[in-house]
Amino acid sequence: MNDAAPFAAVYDLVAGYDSGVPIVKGVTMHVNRGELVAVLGPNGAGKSTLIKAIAGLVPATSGCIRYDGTDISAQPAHLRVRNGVAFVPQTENVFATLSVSDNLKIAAQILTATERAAHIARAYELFPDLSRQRGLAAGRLSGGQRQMLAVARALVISPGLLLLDEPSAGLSPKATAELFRTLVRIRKTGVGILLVEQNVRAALSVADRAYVLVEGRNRREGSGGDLAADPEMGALFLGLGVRAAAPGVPA
Amino acid sequence: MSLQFLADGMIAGATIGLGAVGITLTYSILRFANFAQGEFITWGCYVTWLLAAAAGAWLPWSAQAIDPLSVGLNVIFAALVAMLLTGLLAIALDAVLFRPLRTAGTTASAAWAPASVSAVIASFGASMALRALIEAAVPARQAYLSTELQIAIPLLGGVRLTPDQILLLAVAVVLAVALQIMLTRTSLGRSMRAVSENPALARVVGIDVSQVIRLTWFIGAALACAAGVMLGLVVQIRPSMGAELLLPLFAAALLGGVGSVPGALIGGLLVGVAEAATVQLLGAQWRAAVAFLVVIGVLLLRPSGLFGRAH
Repeated sequence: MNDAAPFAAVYDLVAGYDSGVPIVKGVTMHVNRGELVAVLGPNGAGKSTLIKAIAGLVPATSGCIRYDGTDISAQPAHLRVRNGVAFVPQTENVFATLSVSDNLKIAAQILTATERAAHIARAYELFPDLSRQRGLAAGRLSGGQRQMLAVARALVISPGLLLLDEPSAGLSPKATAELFRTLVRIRKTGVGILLVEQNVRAALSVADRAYVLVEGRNRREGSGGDLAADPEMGALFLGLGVRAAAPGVPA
Repeated sequence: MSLQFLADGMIAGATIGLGAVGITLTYSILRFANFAQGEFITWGCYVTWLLAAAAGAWLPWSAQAIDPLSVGLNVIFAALVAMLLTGLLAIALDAVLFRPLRTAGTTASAAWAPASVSAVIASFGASMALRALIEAAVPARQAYLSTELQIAIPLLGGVRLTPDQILLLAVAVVLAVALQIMLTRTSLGRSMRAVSENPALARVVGIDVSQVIRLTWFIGAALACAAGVMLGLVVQIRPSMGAELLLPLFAAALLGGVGSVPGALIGGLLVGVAEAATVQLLGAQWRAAVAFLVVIGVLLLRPSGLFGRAH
């Protein structure tokens, strides 16, 4: 980390649902522009809650969320999107009854009239499969295509920060590999990506850095390669089989 | 038999349809059956009546009936202002009563669902309170929007309509078309469909869900006010007028498919025509049974309604 403030960061973040029991109990982390950062951890570690708190769907009880020089901790979700924080939820992440094209148009509503067509065209360029199915109801797409539409929808607004909650859940290994290759391409355009993943091996193979959360707190952090080689990782993810030099997804 | 029942039924049906739009919108966005919808009809009618009286007293020329109609500019102006005020009443009711019952949706629908039973009960309470307010505030005397007798004009097939009724049908068609264009062609309409399907995702794509909810209330109540004015032109204005229409409103919304705006309008027309046909064939005492039969029939045979999608 350099001296300049990071592009997006959370400091001592505590967050949870309305019941008042915090799930994220003090997490500090950051993402730079053009950086792909993975958040890993066993079930119940608070990964999903963390990313939802950054998106504004779960209230932050204390701590701070900063994005592009401003404190967005108290901003409602729809304003964070307008500022460039795009979120892809894990499930129900497309409007199933609307067409592929309407899904993208809804996301583009927050852009100026002149930007809309160009941004949607660029999303179709990135995902040619979707372009061929633009009239189809999103609910009829395959799991992989649906995930692509959810990512395309998030990219329509040209976000500065892209948040993804377990995008590989329910996808075939082939679809996962394709999705992760797409994420690497997106990162190269300067977008900061924060990726919550269960699929540790695939995530570490593409991530520049990764954070490991346990019980709502930071446990470890490091580069993708370092963590992949770390013997403690195997213990943390018992049964998930993280090994050194894991064969992952080619970047 | 005379085809007059078709004309009468369409007049009544247009009123029911416009009132039912609010029920279907509230259900599709907030997932609860709003039993206070009838009171928006009553309030809309009373506010129109009061404003029209005030305007008539202030500017007597405005109360002159516009030939061939039975009402003057004061009523038309009052109706437009009343639509605005009834819409604002609904927004205020949501802010003080329904919004506290909602929890911010963090997952698609799970976080919203528990509120719906409390919201239904709350809407019962709101309905009683709104009616009691009218009863307390307005002196009990006969109230009419128009007392002038109109000669019905013979149209095709022995059907007769008064000039007022012809205007009402035209206004209902204009409102229905405008609403349909708004829902299908504008970003507000797309946002409403998005919030209806998945409120949490709607926030994630940058839609101001609270704003969409306010607009939903406003549109539903403003149309209910229009329905109230239509009703007030044909019957005596009374505090129970909207509540008495509640069953036909729900029958129309169910028949059209809850959540479908064109469905509510068409459902309203069908219920209205069925009621009028029943009155003509069996007698007026059977009118109230029609809406019951429609509700039972739809629930038994086609719970998703004519235009609804299965949930």
